[in-house]
Amino acid sequence: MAAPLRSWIRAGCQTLQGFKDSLSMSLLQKRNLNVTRMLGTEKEAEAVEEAEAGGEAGEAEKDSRRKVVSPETSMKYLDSEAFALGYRGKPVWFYYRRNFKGGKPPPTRRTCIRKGQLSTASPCPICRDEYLVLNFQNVKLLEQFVSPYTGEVLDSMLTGVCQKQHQQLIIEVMRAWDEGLLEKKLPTRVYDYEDYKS
Amino acid sequence: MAASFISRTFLSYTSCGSIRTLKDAVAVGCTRRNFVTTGKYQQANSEDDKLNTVQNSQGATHQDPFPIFSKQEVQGLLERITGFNALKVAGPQKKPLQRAVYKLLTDEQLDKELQEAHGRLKEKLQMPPFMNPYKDNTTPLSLDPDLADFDTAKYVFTDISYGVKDRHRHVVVRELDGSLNIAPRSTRERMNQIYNPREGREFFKPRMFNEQNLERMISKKQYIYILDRACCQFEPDDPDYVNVTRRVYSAVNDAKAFEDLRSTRHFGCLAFYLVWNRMSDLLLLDMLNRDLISDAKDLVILHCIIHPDSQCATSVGRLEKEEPVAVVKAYIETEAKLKAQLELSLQAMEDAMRTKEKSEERSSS
Repeated sequence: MAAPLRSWIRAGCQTLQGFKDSLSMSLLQKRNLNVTRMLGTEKEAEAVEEAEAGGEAGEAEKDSRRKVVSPETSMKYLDSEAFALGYRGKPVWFYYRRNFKGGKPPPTRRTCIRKGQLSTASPCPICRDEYLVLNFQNVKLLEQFVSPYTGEVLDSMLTGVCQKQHQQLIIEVMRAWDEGLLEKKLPTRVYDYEDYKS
Repeated sequence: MAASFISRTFLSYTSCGSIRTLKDAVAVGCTRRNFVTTGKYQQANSEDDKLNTVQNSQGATHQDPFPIFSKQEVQGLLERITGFNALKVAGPQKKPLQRAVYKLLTDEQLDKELQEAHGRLKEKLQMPPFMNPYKDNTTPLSLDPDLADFDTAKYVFTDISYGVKDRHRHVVVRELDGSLNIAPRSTRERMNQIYNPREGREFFKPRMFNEQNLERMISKKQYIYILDRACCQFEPDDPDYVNVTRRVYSAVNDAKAFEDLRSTRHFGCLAFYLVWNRMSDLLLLDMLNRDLISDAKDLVILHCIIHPDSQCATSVGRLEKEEPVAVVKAYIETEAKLKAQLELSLQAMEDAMRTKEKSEERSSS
């Protein structure tokens, strides 16, 4: 009895040590602390860091499980057949069904994407489709999240998007209002002619 | 030297005595200056008055249009020209979701409700004032060279007393050379937005009013939205407001898209702008094509009021009875540039009226 237990503990310690080693290695890879300590001048250190960052980004792109799509590609996607087939002419959040316990829905999750990849089994309508990029120029996508009756951005409880995407959506809608790509709901300005007669 | 302008504002918290204290502060040790910035309206009677004329965006020199625009007669004319298509004015709007309210009413109560609704809708058709762009008053209130370089930034003093209208708010700037000036209009607008924020007005000018975005929106025919947003954002005598609105009016004129603006608050200003700059032929043509003869007459009368020295005014004055067709004919013969087209459409309209009268006589007899 003791022998298997001891071996199990040893195995556990080994894996723990292995985990610690891999963590420190990844930290070293991200920021080559040894190199910066060795180099005397700041300029050389910056050059090395830039090279590292470029290399890392290149490596990240090769390794990432989530494709990075440009806003222009996203705009083309919204006009494509694939989009029409997938979403059947409805808003992108229409057929999404949230999973939660009970009758009253809680607020949507903070984010679906952690460390560059999906970390949930049921991601929100925007995170689940890599080709849906929230951008102020992507008016067709933004319009789906703005109420045609009130002119306000739809609540995340209705659309089911995660909070991070909801904040990004609000920012992009405000940018679109600023550029005049989306029509904002305006109050009726009332004038008193007497003010202008002086 | 303060390369970027940073203002620190001094808030005067007293409600009644603030203006007095501000004036006293200004009056101590300096000469009092007149706060009135805009000149009085002058009648165009002599050649000397033409020196006081202001250049508008079209390049034509004119006097101040606002006194003529705000006349009862002119406002009535413009209201009649605008029309009142109830379905368009009360049409679909973006508003908070509300439950429908059902009421059981007698005939008198129903009439009263309809009248009140009509009044509410009429308020929506109030025309924004048609003015020339303002000119900043640059005379200093006091010169204090002893105070020069008191700080690295200018100080802006704003009178935030309750009950003072934004346009009449006292805003003064202590410059770095020690002089005290009335704040330029841009500074006053910023201070108003800080202390008295208004819904629909942004602190920074929206990018929508930049060249590229304006061109795009005009090509997409979003005239009403541009004008509504300009009304919310700017004052009527702001140079930006004047540029944007005049640009949209001339685009509407070129595209002949008058029907888009009919029954909105902007149609009156559009008509006034076209008549002011003697560009009203296309609008008159549109009215004649739609058989709006009374509107056409009103437009010509407006032309006579705005340009009393013109040939058209004298020939209309000579008419015994101001009959619509005769008045329009007088305009076409004297002032019109699209003479042939206007005569043709007037003829077509007269023929249509005659056939209509004949058919009515036949049906009644």
